[in-house]
Amino acid sequence: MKKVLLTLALLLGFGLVKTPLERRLHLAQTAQGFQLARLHLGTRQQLGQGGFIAALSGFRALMADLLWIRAGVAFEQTAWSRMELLLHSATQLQPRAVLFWEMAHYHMAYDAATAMRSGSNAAPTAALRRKAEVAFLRIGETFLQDGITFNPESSRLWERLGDLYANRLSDHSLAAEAYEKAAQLPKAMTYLRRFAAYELAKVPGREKEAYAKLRALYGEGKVQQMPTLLHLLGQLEEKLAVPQAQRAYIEKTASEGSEPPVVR
Amino acid sequence: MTAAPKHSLFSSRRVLALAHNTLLELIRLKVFYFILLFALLIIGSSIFTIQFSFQNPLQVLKDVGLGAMSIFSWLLGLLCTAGLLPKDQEDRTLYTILAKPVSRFEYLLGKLSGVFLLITLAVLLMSVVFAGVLGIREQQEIAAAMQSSSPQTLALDLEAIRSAAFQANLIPGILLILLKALLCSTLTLLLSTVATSSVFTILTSVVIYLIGHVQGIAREAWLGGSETAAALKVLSAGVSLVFPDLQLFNVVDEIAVGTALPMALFWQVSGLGLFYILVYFLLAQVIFASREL
Repeated sequence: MKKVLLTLALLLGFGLVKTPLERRLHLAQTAQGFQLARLHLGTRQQLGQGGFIAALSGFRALMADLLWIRAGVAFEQTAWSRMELLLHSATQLQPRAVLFWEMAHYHMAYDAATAMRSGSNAAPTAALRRKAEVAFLRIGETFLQDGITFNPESSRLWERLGDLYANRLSDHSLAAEAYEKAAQLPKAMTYLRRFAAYELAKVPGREKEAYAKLRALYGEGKVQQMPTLLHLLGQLEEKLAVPQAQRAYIEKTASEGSEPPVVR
Repeated sequence: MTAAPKHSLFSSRRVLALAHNTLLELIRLKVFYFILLFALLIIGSSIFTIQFSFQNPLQVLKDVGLGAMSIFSWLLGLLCTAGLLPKDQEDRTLYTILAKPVSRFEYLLGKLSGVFLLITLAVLLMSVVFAGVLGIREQQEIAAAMQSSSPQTLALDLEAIRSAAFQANLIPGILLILLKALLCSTLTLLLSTVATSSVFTILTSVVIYLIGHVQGIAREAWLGGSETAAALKVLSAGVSLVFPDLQLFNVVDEIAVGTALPMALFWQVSGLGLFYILVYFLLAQVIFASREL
C-alpha cells in the first residue's frame, strides 16, 4: 500500500510538470491540422460500443473507413438518409481526408438530390420533389462548407463548392466567389480564374466587373483564350457597348482572318 | 595473489548482455510469432480486403496497415513486458541474476532494452511488409490508370496515385507509433514492479491505454475554462496528472491523408515520449529497488 501511494505521489508530481507540456503540444498539433476529429454520440450510435472504443483508442482512421464502407452499402440500397448519417460520422472521424468530404457532398448533392427529383421513390408532387431535392443539395453544401473549415487550404473543396453553386443551385455570385477562392489556394487548377470570371458574367449588374476580369485573362495570352472566354467577352462587349477599337474579341478574330468561333 | 577485478556500479556490457538474452527469450516465445504473423497477415491481406472498400482503396489500405502496426506493436510490448518479472521470479532466474554482481537498475534496464529491441524489430518488419503491399497496389493502380485515363488527365491521375501511396512523410508517423508502443511497454513495466500477477498488469495496462487516449478531454475539462462541476474538475485533474496523453502520438492518420508533419513538431512529440519513458522507467526502478523479492 505504501508503495502504491508513493508511486501515485511521484506520478502526480510528474503530472504537474508534464501537463503544461502536453497542453502546449496539443495546441501546436491542432494548429497544424492534427487532432481535429470529433467523436459525438451520433458516431457512437453508428459505430457501436466496441467501434467507439476503438475509435477512442487510436483506431479512428480504421473506424472512419469502416463507416465509409457501410455508406457504400447504403448507397447501393439507395438509403440516402442512412448514408448521410454514415458519411457524417466518417467525415467527423477523419476530417482531414479531403476525398471523404468531396465524395460525401457528391453523393448527397448529386446522387441523392437527383433520386429525390426523379427516382422510383420520389415524392408525388413536383413541389415536394423539389423540396426534397433542395434539402439534399443543402446537405451537400454543408458537407463542403464543413470540409473547408477543417481543410482551409484545399482548393479542390472550394472548386466543388463553386461547381455546386454554378450547376445545381444556380447561384452564380456565390459560385464566382468560391472559384475565386479556389484559384488563390495552393495546387489550384489554371482554369479556376476563368471559371470565376465566367460565373461573374452571369450575375446581373456585375457585367463590368466580369468584363474587366475576362479582359485581364484574355491579356494573358493563348493559354487563357478559350472559346467560352471569347464568347463571353463578345457578349459583354456588345452588352456594355465597348467601342470597336477597344474590343478584344474583334481584335483576335480580325487578326486571324477567320470566322468568329462563337455566335453573337 | 592477484587482486579481484574492480566491480563498476554500472556496466553497459551487462545491460547489453541482459538485453540480448531477453530478446532471445522473447523471440522464442510462441506469442511473439503469433502476434507478428497475425499482424503481417492483416497487413498483407488488406490488398484483397480493400476490394470491399467504397472508393479510395489506397487510403483504406494505408489505414488498415497503419492501424494494424499500431495495435500489434502495442499488444506485443504489453504481453512481453507484463510477463518479464513474474516469469523470472517464477523460474528463479531473477534470483540467479541478482545474486551475481548485477544491480537491480541494470537488470531492469536490460530487460526493458530487450523488449524495446523486439518491438523495434517487429515494427521494422511490419513497415517493410506494409510498404511492399502499398507498392504492389500502387503498381496495379498505375497500370489501371494507364489503360483507362485519357492523355490529358493521365499525368494528374498518376500524381494522385503516387501521392496516395507510401511516401517518406509516413516514416515520422510510423516512428511515433513505435515510440507509443515503447512508452506503453515502460508503463507496463512500472505496473509490473507493483503488481504481483501478470494478468493484473495486463488488464491495468489496457485500461491505462484506453484512458490515455481520452486524457486530453479530461485535461481540457480541467484547464479549458469551461463550466464544469467542481467534483468533475477534481476527477479530470487527477486523470490529467496521472495518465499520459497517448493521443498526442496518433498523428499518422492525418499524415496518411496528406497533412504535413513539421519536423519541429515531430521532435517535440518524440521528446515528450522519451521524457515519459525516462520518468516511468525511473519510477519503476525506485519501486523495484525497494521491492522485497
